[in-house]
Amino acid sequence: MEVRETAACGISQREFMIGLDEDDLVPFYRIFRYAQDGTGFYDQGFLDDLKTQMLYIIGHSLEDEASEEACLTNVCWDDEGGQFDYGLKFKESEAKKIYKILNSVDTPGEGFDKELNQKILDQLLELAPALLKNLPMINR
Amino acid sequence: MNVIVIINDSLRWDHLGCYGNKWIKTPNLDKLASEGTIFESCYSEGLPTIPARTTFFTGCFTFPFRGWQRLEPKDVLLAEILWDKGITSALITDVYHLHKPSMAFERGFDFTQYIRGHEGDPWILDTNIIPDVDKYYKGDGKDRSVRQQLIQYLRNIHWWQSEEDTFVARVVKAGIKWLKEQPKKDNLFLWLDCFDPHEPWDPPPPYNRMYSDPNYTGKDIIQPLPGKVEGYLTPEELNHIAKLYAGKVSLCDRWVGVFLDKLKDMGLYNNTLIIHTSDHGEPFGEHGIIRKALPLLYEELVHIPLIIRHPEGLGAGKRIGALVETTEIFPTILDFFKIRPPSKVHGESLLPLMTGEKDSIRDYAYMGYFKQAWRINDREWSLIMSLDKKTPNELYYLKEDPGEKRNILAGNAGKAMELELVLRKFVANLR
Repeated sequence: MEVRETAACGISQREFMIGLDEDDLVPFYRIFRYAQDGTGFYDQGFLDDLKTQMLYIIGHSLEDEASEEACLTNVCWDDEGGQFDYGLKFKESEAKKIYKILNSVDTPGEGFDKELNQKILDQLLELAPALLKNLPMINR
Repeated sequence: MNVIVIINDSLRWDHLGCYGNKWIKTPNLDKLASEGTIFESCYSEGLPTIPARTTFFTGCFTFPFRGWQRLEPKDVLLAEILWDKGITSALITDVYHLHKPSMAFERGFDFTQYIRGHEGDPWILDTNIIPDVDKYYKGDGKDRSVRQQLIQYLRNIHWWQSEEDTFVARVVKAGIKWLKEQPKKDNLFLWLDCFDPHEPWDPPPPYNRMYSDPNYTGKDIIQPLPGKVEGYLTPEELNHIAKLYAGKVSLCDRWVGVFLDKLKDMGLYNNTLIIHTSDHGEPFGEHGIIRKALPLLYEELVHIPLIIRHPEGLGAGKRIGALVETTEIFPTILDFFKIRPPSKVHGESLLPLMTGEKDSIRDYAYMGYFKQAWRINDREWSLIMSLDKKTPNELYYLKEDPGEKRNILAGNAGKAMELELVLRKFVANLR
């Protein structure tokens, strides 16, 4: 898993991608699933790595309030032609919303854009149904 | 012998006197060109800033494989090849994108200096500095990001007092300082990468009014929103922005001149290969957009200047029309230093074109924005392909329509198909 800036010049907002290999999909899915309503469990190390990388690459503007510019249609999954198996692509304003989701695992279901999170989860399930649909969701 | 590469980011080829411009003053670059070789048909392979540097530093085509991203560990880089060849290297730049976390474009250079603060560089973070952003900003009622970026920029430059403080001046002065400090003025490789004349287009006096309409009474919109001009800028505003850019081109020329004069003072002018180029041009409404908002690969964006002055006069005074690309810079430098290039380099040395040993090195120029648009052209035709599967391809006959104003694909489907096939075959065979 790697967070990358994918565009920044001549455009209004910087663009980013969380690049994931096949092995990253399950721990990634579990974080967002847990954040949504507390279902299942997540790998704390994976979460810490993801948050650290987002802060490192995107910067501390992540911790500002999410902008009104955030738009669901700007978040999309990419599964072709890149150096990773999958990529979650988003703009700077969505980055703040995604970061909020990651920060909400201590209080699942609260303080973040649930619609955006559901979209991320739905698209992820669509991308890798065999891998993600039958995951055991029992809390450890 | 030494090599110095001077980049002026976002510099349009048609804004230089040596390329035929009649109204923008660029005497220093014109003089360099008169003593060197002008490449009339040079194209930027991968756009924008970061992919272009990846091409420069690897000599490889990038547009089908990667876009805006950090260098890969497996990349074989120019500065790293020179690392154990007795050559002392430096990267001096204000291109802050190269300095962002994980980008690592300083890899292999013996010395690196980043001049901080250009564009949206989060450099001066003191929120007590409250710039008058509305003096220079025009929004569309929705934008917040560009405004924020401009506030950051104005904070970064709040301390400027004169032309000496501008980014291009500081990069040039840092380059001179590094050269002066080198005990031996031989086997040096300097990559002097100036982000100017990139936006914000805020040249200091006299450049800010050098070309503008004296009757213009609007704002100096130094960082317009990228996108469609119609409905956003008035013709007067657009014209004024283009004139501010032209002023910044003259500012850059003046500082390139300062740099070249110092090379002469230090005895470096006649034992150094000097390469001057850019990473791309800049649209000013020729096709309805300003800035690189959409990956519209028209001439004003992809066609770039390239001037090479050989210390022994090779190719002096020559104008070369052969198609060349940014992939060629890497092997040209290695060829000059007499170093064999690694096997995986797509570019070709330009020295044989300069000596006359070769008339051409490629039949077509290929370029693109990763995953967004590709372009192929020879000297007669250009085909622009959008990769979104919705936007139709465009075909232009450059010989009669160099500004690419008349899309003639409808009547020339066979030619478009032929060019698309050549482009797709080229990409398929790239390794």
